[in-house]
Amino acid sequence: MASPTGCSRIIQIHPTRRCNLRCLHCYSSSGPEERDELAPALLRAALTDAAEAGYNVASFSGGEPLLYTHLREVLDHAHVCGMLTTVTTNGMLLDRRRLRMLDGGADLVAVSLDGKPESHNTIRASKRAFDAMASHLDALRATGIPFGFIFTLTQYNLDELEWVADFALEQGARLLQIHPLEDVGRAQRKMPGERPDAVESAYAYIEALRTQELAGGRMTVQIDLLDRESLEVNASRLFADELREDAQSCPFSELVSPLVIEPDGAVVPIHYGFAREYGLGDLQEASLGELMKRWRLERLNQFRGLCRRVFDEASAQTGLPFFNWYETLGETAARGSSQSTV
Amino acid sequence: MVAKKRSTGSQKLSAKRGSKKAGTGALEKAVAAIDRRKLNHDILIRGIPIPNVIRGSVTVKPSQINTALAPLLAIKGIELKPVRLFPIGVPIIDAIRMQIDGKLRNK
Repeated sequence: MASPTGCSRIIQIHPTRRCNLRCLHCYSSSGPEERDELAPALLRAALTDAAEAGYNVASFSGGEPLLYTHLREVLDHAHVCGMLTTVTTNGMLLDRRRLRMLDGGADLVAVSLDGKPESHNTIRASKRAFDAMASHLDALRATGIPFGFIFTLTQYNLDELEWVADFALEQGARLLQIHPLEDVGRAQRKMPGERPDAVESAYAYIEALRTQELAGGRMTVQIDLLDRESLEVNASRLFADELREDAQSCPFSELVSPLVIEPDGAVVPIHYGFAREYGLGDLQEASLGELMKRWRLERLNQFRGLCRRVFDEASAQTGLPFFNWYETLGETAARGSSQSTV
Repeated sequence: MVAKKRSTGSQKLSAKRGSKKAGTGALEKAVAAIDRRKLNHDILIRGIPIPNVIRGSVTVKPSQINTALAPLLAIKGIELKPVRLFPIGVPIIDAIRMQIDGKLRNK
């Protein structure tokens, strides 16, 4: 059975909200003053349960995951569990010591790059962000760890995508991921109105396809937008098809992917900050295996109903057929939550 | 004082793409490339005495947008107005009509 993440079943882990930056668009409002952090023993146990549930990719993000002192320990544990690992970083702290730590621990490093140096620095709220990140790329390449870049698309920066793609190719990146800005976390206050609208999303979709054609086999270009044509034929990928008969016994990863562990121990489906009404619960109170068991019984149907509702609404829209599935699902879930608490 | 409206990324992109120099016969080549891809279009090349304007529409599935636009975007020296996109299909969108309007810059 497919999922929004294809054949990868992803457990996304945010071990800390501590970060050396205070980016304007940060979905988790991370920063230097934050101290939320998950205990490594808790994460190791969760990874073991996740692997048993069929998750095959452990994706570490943050906050800045390089500031999580137990990162190598949990990366190694994910490998022991048979998972692939990815680490998403702003790249500024990729010094030799940390690269040695990642070597053999991370199967892919994703570095944030939000445009030309000036734009990148603005969105990262740091004059040094680009230079510091770029100064570590030679050493990152030398480790042989496959790496890529993640570009946050806004209403105003599509014209910089070409520069970003050229830079990524020059650096030997294998992946360029284009992720539309979401109106969550710090972005709500610091970048209001900068989320790409339907027209800009449509142009971005076109540009992503064009960029992929130019990059050929050298680099994979991925844009986190779904076109409605794909949606129509892939209801199962979006958990919007009929619930399978063995839903109470099939691997949990076939019911939800990505599954997200937040720095306070909350476990939620799909993305960071997803409405708690659909969440699995708190890792500090029960093991991931136990949370999965309860969720299957108590919330699976509710979650599937949400997916189906969003699917039906998206299918019936008359606007341009490109949208961010994750964000649409998250917003609908949040709306439902706020209505039910009124 | 009226605040200056900020250009979107796609507007800046269109302006930038229009700054390249024109190539000879490029319009015909682009339309031929679209023909070869068997896409439904009514694009015409116009201009007297020199054909330098390309105008019309292509109707494609969303997954074919790149196939349709790539030959046009590759034309050196074309000033393309922002491509207008019309969703087609009620209630389910199953195709997009793209309105193309471009002109080659004078050398």
